Amino acid sequence: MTIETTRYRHDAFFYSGIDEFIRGTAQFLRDGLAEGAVMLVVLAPEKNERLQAELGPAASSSITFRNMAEVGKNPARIIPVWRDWVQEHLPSGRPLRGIGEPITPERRFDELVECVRHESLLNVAFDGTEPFWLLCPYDVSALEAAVVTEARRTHPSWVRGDEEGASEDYVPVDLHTPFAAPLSPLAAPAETLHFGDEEMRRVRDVTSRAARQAGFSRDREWDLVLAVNELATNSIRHGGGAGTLRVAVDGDRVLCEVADDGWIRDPLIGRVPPGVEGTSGRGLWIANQLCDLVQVHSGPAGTTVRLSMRA
Amino acid sequence: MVRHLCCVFSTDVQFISAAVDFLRQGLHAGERLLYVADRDADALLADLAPLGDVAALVEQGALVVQPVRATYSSGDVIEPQAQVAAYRSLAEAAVADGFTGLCVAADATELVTGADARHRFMAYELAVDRFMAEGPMRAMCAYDVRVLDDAVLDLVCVHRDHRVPSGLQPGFAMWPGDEGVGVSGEIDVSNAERFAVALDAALDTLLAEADRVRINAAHLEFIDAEGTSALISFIERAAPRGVVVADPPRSLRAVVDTLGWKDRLAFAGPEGTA
Repeated sequence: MTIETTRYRHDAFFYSGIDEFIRGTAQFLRDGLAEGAVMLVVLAPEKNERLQAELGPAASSSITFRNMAEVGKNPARIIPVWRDWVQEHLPSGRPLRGIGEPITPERRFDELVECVRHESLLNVAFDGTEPFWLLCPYDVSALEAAVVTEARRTHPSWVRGDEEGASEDYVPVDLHTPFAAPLSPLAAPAETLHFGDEEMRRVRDVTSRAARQAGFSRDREWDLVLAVNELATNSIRHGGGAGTLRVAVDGDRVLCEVADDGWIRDPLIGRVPPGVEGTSGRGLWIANQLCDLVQVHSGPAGTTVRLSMRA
Repeated sequence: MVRHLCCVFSTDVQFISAAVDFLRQGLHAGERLLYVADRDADALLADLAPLGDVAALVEQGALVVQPVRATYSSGDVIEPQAQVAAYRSLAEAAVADGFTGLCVAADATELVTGADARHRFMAYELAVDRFMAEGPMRAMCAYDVRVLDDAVLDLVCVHRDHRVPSGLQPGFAMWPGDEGVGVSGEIDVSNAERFAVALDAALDTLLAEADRVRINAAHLEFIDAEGTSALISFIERAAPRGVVVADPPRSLRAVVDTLGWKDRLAFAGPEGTA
């Protein structure tokens, strides 16, 4: 099966160890330089530095390097960065190339679930006509086999060394119920509060208390309170007018879950900046910008959104 | 002594007893008393019997009772500036007659049953509050929750001091401030619309002549995206006046940063420093 190179292409790049990583990514970037591409590379700082050293100063006018820990601590923040960047450079008419490595061995289980969702959503985040080739590196020597398997499921095609191919295991996003997967159980006991629009202050107070218990700074406390408030507002506005808040403290981490009777269908919700007057997706966008992780489970039986934030 | 009190009542006895308390303070302070409610003059006088010899007070010019329609402008909707001017004249007349000022206790329920009338009355409340901060007048504005229900919150939110049943809190208050308004409390989905209405009321009368507006947010503890959106709409309606939000809460900065609204409003530190 031939893979088109003039339209959007989202590849998994499999490598084993840093040397193979540098060889493969540097070649990808050099090929980009040769075709006059504009490029964005989002990796851990050490890898950025090695690539910059490898390519030399001439590359810097065409390649921007960003730190994945800043861009994608919450993996849901990554897609808007790519979309903004593609939008910005599309008018230039130049080919676009990107490298983004969100999955590294340090990621916790729930973060990995969201990284996998992020990769899956990358396949619907563009309309497919953009001349944008995005490479997602996976270190098969360091990651668990299950993670590598998911990479095959979330990428239509892959590259490794000189080889490339279509992925037989590719599974597109379920556009009907994109959030069908249930959440893992809460790691700590939770305080529960049922709320309607008259209990919003209590929603915020319960959240504040948990933040203080976890040792948050005042600013961080208010950020968590705002995020929870926005989710609760979604329940009031779109989720049947009421909801249930559960708040758990696990050491220096607070987990807040807001459940209601609504059904979220938009797979990219919370990953698209809301328009100037628009309110749709605004709450989840705010939550994604402020929180370390946001997980959504939604279907005909209702919706649960879980936020995680550390002090 | 409270200068401007909002009293929400659910029985006639509550209103009368609150009015008597308020007017008694005025009596002891040497103020001329004005008592306004939706009853005839004899009934109004009878309400105030606990104050003592009310007939004598009336004769001395120390007490005036009036049915509500006679006190406030004719027509269904109050004209804020005209009403403030009317009270200013009454207060100055009281001083000219040897009193220390004017003390008013009024049941204004009948004037605020319609939404338009109520919103204009909010504008009047803010304007008269500014007058009373310096001028020789104190007032207790009373509203019957049996008639107004939740709409009474529109009036409560434009008073800093209120006597209301618990559970009937608007969640925020607004009052005239230096070069603008002050806001306290928390704005969320339960009161963002009311907040927008209060801002409009401020623009209607209090801020009408201003070149620039300072919103003192030092006591605004929290505001969400809906509240911020209402604030930004107000800023756009207030144009070409410049509006600055002084001492904003963290949540306002967070909403503005995450939604990319930095260009749509200006912040200042406390005391107007940038």
